[in-house]
Amino acid sequence: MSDRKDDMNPGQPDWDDLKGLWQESPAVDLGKLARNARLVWWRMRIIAAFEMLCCIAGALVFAYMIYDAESNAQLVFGVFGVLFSLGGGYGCLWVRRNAWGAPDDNALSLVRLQINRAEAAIKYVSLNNWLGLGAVAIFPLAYWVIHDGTRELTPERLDNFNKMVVVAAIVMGVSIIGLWPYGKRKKRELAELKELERQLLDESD
Amino acid sequence: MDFKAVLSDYGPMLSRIVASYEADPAQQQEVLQEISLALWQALPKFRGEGSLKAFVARVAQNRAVTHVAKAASLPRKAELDERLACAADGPEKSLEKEQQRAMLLDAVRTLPLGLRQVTTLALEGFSHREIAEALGITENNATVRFARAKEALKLAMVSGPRVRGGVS
Repeated sequence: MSDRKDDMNPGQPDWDDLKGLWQESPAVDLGKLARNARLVWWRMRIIAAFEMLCCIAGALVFAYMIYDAESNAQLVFGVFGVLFSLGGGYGCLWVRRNAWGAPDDNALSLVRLQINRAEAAIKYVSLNNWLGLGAVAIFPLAYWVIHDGTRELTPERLDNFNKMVVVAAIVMGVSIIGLWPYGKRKKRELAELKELERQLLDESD
Repeated sequence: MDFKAVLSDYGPMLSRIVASYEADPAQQQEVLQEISLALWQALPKFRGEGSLKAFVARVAQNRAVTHVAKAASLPRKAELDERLACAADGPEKSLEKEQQRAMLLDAVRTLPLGLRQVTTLALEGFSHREIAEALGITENNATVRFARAKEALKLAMVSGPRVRGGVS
């Protein structure tokens, strides 16, 4: 595309000069880019597979607990655990739903994809909070299980169990508090993406 | 299709497109990585309808657009890259060229999204038809947008860099 010199302002380079200027660019490490693209592609899939495997493994462990239950408490604990694991797995899938879009989509659909991602991230924070709350229900159930009379409960064993509960509670608390700024950032990003979507819609009119 | 060969052929164009959306070199790298991933995923779907250059540019433009909303709304200045200095030119000439290039980039970044897309592709040497193909618009629309874009670029270069508010 070429245009006459007097198209641009006097004193400014003409269009062909601008093109020349534009096309002088620094070299980029293309090998590194290619390697990284492949790496990210596999990483995305490995993380998703790992999440699902964890949830399935969790569900299987709790399912075995149901099969091997010696008391009602163990049965209830097992059922709760299976539901919790499957719910977690479904939650992961739900959060990732629409998170991967077609790479050759147009700008508007990509912006909408980004909006989906930002909304998914906000939902993820919310899900984490609810899972944290749900996990609180595990504690009384776990105490019920260890007091169900099917095992000898020594003070040392009870002490270890209490320590484990405290650690689990701290981990849950940290994950809820730690994700709070992330959720806030995602909400801000969502507002900006919606503004961009509006601009793109205006342009297509 | 050989991904590495495509990156090798169009890498410089990709980095210029990214530079028109993002001034921060570290962020530019991030967007370039995102574009290269999108290309890696998209290339097997390329069936040869239209030019590969336009296809690559479309993927890059679309990915770069999504970056705009994430970018900070405050203006950031591009760092001068000494690698750009042309060996054939003296230091003064090189500096002048670099200043002009920085000014051009600043001006392009201030353009509204639709005009910016057309401008970067036109500066890459795309024809109206190729611009239309890359942006998924009609050739007539591309011609009209290019005329508006050139006018806006002229104004932006005269007025110099300005503070951008919100999403640009």
